[in-house]
Amino acid sequence: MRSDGRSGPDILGGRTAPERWVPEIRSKLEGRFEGLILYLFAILPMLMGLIALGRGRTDMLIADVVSAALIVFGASSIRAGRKAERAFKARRVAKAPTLPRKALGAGCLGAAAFLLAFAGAGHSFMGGLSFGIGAAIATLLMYGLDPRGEKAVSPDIDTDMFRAALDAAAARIEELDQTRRRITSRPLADRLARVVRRARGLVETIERQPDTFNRARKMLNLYLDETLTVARKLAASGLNGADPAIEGKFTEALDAMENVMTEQQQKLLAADALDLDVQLEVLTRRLKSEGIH
Amino acid sequence: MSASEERRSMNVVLRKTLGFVLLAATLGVASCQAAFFHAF
Repeated sequence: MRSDGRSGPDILGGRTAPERWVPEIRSKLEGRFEGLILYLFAILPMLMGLIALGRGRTDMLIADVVSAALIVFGASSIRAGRKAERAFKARRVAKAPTLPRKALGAGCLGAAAFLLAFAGAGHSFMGGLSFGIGAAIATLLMYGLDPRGEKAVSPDIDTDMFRAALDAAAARIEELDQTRRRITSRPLADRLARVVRRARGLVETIERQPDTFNRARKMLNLYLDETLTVARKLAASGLNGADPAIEGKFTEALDAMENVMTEQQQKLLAADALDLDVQLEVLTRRLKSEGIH
Repeated sequence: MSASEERRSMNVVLRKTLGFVLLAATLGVASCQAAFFHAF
């Protein structure tokens, strides 16, 4: 508890606790458990399949196994569809998934209900069909329709290219973070952690302000490549404080990267495109001259 | 939470509940009937 009477918005990035944590926890829990209940509907057909097997009724066995498989596939498809929908909603720039997974899942559950009612319970064709349609509508009521369209940035920027560039940058940052874990020298690992934080901030800035994308694209690719090269060399060198001269060199390089990244983020926001290119070139030359690149 | 958000959230809960009841009444009932048919 803080004794100075100030509450915690500083540690939470300027937001109050419920605003920041509740949606995150809720979305995590939703992601983990949503749609699991649908798998329960597969238990009875599986048990019935065992009974049919015991009695040697092949026709019933096939109907039961197919129904159970349709339910399991449908439930998995709906869970995947919900995951894709959450990702689509969370991103500012994105294209809706091309495959309508939730509708496909609803269709599978409807087909399972039809098969169980028609082939399993002995209903008429039309009776079975109404069970099937009812189950498909019920699933769509529970999980909704698949998202459509795209959340475009502007007519000048291709949404696919934008998304691919940001996803590639995020993957590189993740790789950088993984490489950081292999670095034995604590101060260097801490410095790299700061660089990773800066890089994430930069990607967030571009995502928040897509108009900066065209200016930031080159920098995003080249800069992250440079950093990754340095990080890999660092991890491979196995430095652990034994050679202060080499460690000092790496420290200097990482500090330079962190500073440049901070400045670049500010410049991106200030729309100073020319300066970005110049600064990037200076950094690359410097790394080359120091023999790190 | 504003009144419109509350109403929207209530609608979602109602829609999901109705969906689950309907799914239980179709897929669930069809399964139970088929199990009964298998057993006897």
